[in-house]
Amino acid sequence: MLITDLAATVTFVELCEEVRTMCSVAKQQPITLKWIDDEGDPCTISSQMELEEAFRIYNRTKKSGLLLHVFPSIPERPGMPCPGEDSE
Amino acid sequence: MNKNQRVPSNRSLSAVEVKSKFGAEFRRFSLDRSKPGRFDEFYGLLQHVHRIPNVELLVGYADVHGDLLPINNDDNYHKAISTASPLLRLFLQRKDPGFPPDLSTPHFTLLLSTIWSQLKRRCSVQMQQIGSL
Repeated sequence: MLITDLAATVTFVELCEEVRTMCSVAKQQPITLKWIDDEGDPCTISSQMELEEAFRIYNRTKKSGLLLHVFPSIPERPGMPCPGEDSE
Repeated sequence: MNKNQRVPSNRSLSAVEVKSKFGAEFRRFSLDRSKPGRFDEFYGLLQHVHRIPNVELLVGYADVHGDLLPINNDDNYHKAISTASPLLRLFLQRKDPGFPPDLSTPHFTLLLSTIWSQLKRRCSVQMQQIGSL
């Protein structure tokens, strides 16, 4: 688990760059970001709109940190989990 | 198009929180309750968010009673928006039946439950027949 502090004004593009740096993921390697929401479901973030929603809900629940799962891959098809992803 | 619309934080009270499920994928975003737009715009937004621009979808939502209701026109779309409190749970399925069924949708769960009940009843009948031999 890697921990960092980011400004609440971080953009989706900036977040991806930060994640790539922290996780040592090459620029050309596709990644998938998912956050665990207040119902325990992994929600994919692929846009600024979805990132803002994650921050908004996180601020409401006031948890200690926004937990992001980073997958060094993309789903084989839309709607599928990422390779290696399971409920654990 | 609504796809670029964002809800400012000072209008959070009028926000509808959309939680959309397509297969194993969840997506969350907000809509302005006072300006939900038309169904076709919303449909396009869902396709855009889930990265499925060429997939024809069946859109359903869970109402306050837990029933799965369709969203396929402006009327039932606005009804769904009006009942969101503020969460609107969406379940998306491909119209194409060729795609593997989503194991977690209410419809498929109901189908499994029905098949299981019938299997149990058959086994029970057969056990009674064996027992009477």
